[in-house]
Amino acid sequence: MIEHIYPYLILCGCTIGVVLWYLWRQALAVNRLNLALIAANDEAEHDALRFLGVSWSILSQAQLRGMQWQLTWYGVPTSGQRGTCQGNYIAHQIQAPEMHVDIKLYTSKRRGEQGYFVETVIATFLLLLRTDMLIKSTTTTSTFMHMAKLNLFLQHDIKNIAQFIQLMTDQLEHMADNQAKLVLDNLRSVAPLVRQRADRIVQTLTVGQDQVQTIETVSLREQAQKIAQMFLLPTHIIGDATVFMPVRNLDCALENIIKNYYDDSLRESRSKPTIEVLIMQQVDAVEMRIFARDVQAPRDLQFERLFEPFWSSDPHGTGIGLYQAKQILESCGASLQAHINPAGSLEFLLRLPHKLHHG
Amino acid sequence: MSAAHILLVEDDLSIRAMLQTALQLSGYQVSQADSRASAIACLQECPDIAVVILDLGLPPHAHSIAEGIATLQAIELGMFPVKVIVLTGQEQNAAALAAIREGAFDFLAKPASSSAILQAIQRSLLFLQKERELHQDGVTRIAINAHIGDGLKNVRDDAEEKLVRQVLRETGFNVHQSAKRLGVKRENIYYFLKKFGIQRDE
Repeated sequence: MIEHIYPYLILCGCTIGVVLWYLWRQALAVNRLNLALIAANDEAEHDALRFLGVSWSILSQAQLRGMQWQLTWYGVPTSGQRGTCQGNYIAHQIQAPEMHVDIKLYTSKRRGEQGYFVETVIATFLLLLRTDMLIKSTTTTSTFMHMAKLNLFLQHDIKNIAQFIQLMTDQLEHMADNQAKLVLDNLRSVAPLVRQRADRIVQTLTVGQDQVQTIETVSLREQAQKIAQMFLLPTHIIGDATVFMPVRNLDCALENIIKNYYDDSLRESRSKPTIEVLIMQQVDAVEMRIFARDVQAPRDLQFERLFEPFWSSDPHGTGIGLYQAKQILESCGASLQAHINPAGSLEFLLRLPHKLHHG
Repeated sequence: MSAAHILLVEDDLSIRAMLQTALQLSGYQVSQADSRASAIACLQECPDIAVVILDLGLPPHAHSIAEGIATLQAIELGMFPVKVIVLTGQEQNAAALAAIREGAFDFLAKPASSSAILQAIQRSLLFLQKERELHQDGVTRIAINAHIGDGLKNVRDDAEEKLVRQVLRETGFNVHQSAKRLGVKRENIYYFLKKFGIQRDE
């Protein structure tokens, strides 16, 4: 009896197989279109307008008949279209700060699974477009914030240098003969400090760029002591070693590291900490460990963000210092790392090859 | 007047050194501080300081006016008999407004010439001198920031608090003498101490 339904069962099985094969082929095609959209977006460098321009050649393969858009892009209204813009359409709006897109996607009559597949491609397209707009908005906002921070930083130092030059000019112009020695002695002692300020500005403006500097043999003990003295911080230095490297780079890196402890002590209303420096000769390099004695690392320290540019735990901080120190050291073949030492202090580890290149 | 004692509050060592030389050449006695804490300690140690030259961009917030304004507030709260001249490179309008609100006597934007700084010091010393003369005649000058819309009670409270704090400071926190100088009963002084949260340590 059952033999009579075998042909029907076989027919049903074959039909299901053909349908599954057909759906699988469709899904593969949709998947290829989605991947093509992602690749086109990458090629357009996540620029929403460029992506909008190049995406039609892919969308047209997904049974879309046309695409029409109206943009308001940072106050400028524009519109455009591709394909045939007649008949059924799906309308979408995408908004981001100072960007607005009204988009209509014209489709052929959609049947069941085909409608679903087309919607998948449209959803991918809109998601990519929206993401590009949000990336643009976020990048613009953060760039302006970083510029403002950098301006603040530079403004402070440049105005101090201008003030120094003003006072120096006044003193040289009006000094009496019997005051000449006092004025010149003072200038001799403070001019190197101003030079350091000027170097810091140049380092900040050129961070990440290659710079050729004269290199010389420097004592790490002397440099650490000199920088700590700038902040009137006591030091306890064990060991010494010399390295052959651009001394201004080393100064700038040490200043940014030690200033970190100085600022922290003021922020927390603590007395000035003693800066502990441990200098050890290794086979191929010199290791320099720096930490503040008896100062625990902040409990809320976001360790992973320590060297992130323009990020600071202090709302008034520029977030440039430690990033700059790391960049400068790495540019001449050295390295900078940080960890919490067994005593619970934030410790910086500089690894300086005996002979560093120019950077 | 030329032997007056000036306190420089500036985080940049080179500017401090240059200003110190400029002021010493003009005959002033100069002390230095690089932070709010050291400035207040210096004012407490040297009661003869007449003028403070204050940079608003002090560490740990050298790139904003926050720490400089906090220093100005601490000087005001401490009732130190000084005039504060703000010398700063921070954004001029906002810094000037904040500094004047917190009781600064004068405001100079960096870079300022030596003559502008010296003139500001001379003006400060002149005002200080005249205020001292008025004080000898029993007149005390107090400055308050009054919000007109808040009504007169707040103005009265602010004036009362400043006056009580000043007299207590001048009498070395002697309640009996303060009451006598203010022409009130001792109980009133205790009432003010409680009302304004004034403590001897201040």
